[in-house]
Amino acid sequence: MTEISNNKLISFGASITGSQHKRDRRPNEDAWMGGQSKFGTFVAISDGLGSKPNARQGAKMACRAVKDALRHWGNSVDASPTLLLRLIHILWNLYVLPASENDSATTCLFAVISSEGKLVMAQLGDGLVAMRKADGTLHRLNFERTGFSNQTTGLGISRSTQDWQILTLPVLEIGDAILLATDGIAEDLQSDRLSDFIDMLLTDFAPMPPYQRWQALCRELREFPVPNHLDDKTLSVLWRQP
Amino acid sequence: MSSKFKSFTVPTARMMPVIILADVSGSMTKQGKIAILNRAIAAMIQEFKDDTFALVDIHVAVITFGKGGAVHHIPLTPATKIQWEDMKAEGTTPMAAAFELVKQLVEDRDTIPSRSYYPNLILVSDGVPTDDKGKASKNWKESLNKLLTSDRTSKAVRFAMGIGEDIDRDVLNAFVANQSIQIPVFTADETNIQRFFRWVTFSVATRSRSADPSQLQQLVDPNTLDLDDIDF
Repeated sequence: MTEISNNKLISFGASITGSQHKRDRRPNEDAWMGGQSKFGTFVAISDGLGSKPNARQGAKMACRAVKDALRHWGNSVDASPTLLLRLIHILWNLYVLPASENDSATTCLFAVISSEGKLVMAQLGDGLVAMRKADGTLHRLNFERTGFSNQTTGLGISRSTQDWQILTLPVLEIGDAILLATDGIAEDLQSDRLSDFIDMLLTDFAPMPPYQRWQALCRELREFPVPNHLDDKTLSVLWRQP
Repeated sequence: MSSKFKSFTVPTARMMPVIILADVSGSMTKQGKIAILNRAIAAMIQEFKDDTFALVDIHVAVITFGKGGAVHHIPLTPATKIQWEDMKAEGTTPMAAAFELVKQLVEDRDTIPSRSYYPNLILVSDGVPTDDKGKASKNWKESLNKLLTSDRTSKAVRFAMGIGEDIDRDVLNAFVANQSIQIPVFTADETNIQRFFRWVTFSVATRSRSADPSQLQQLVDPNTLDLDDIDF
């Protein structure tokens, strides 16, 4: 399998506090993380469930659990994606202590390109995980919501790796990109314009210097063009650039 | 600077549906009940229209059950666009058909997208449910059970009002049972139908202005609350 040079993989993201939490003087209960290491390159986002007292910490620890789980998982030959998910659950359970799991419940979405080029995308709870192929076709994890807004599952609620949606591919091809978004964004995107939305992020934001890009994305999220938008908002992108 | 996200997002606020299941059987003509119910629902819709503090789009539907079965008297429509037309009372009480119709409506993801806040279902009846031929029937049990075990309708907030002495308490109690907070059945006579609708309006309006409209707060018992002085 061909290794992908790290400098051909770009990851970025941004997260802002929604007007609901600003009004209540609560912190941002979303989190995101992206990075590169020996195991490969990853992005992760999480959305702490709003009614839970430790939601902010739960969300932050979800991203940390993904990062640390990948480090162990990436060191093992032929470890299954299910093992990775189990590791995430275990590490997250440890990291949120002494708070209870239930008080820290959070969604967890991530994508990783291993150093060998293998792709894993996974989702627990609502939000969006979508891959745009270089030719514009779109593949998204089908996490079907059975209820209504702000009713979901996540770490601290789910007890089974079977609740995750997961997709693995042998390689992320040149030009392919992955978008992760929490439901503060995902629910308000037009589904038939999703591929174009990702393309716009790659064209207009990816080439910017990192700090300027983060500022520009935060500005877009703060001025989100949907009436009465309330939720915290987080997105991240992982792109194998040409 | 104009938003780069604008052409990729939905241009409307999230919806909060309010769906009324109204008994329009012939008995509703007695003591002027149907006239009072018409005024109460019209007043509720007007409150929603006038609410400049709401952070969600309140949409209202009215399903009537009486002569001819269950029908959409008003399809799900933004409250601001509703021109109220009075309901007419005639026929029997086919409540099971109303349960089936509301389930169809709530389960329809095109009409009520998953980005919506959960619906409010409001059942109003003054009598015993009947079958197609007008005989008292327990056929509502199967329809209500399907409603309460369905993916989406089971998550709705459910209110119920029984008017008069001839109500079937079993069906009203079953309709509001097993919710995340306890919501009692409101029992009324023709003099306080409006009071119930003020209570429901208060609950919906409070959440529509709230930072998290999906959070249902504990409600005061409408049978004891003095609502006359409340301004929404």
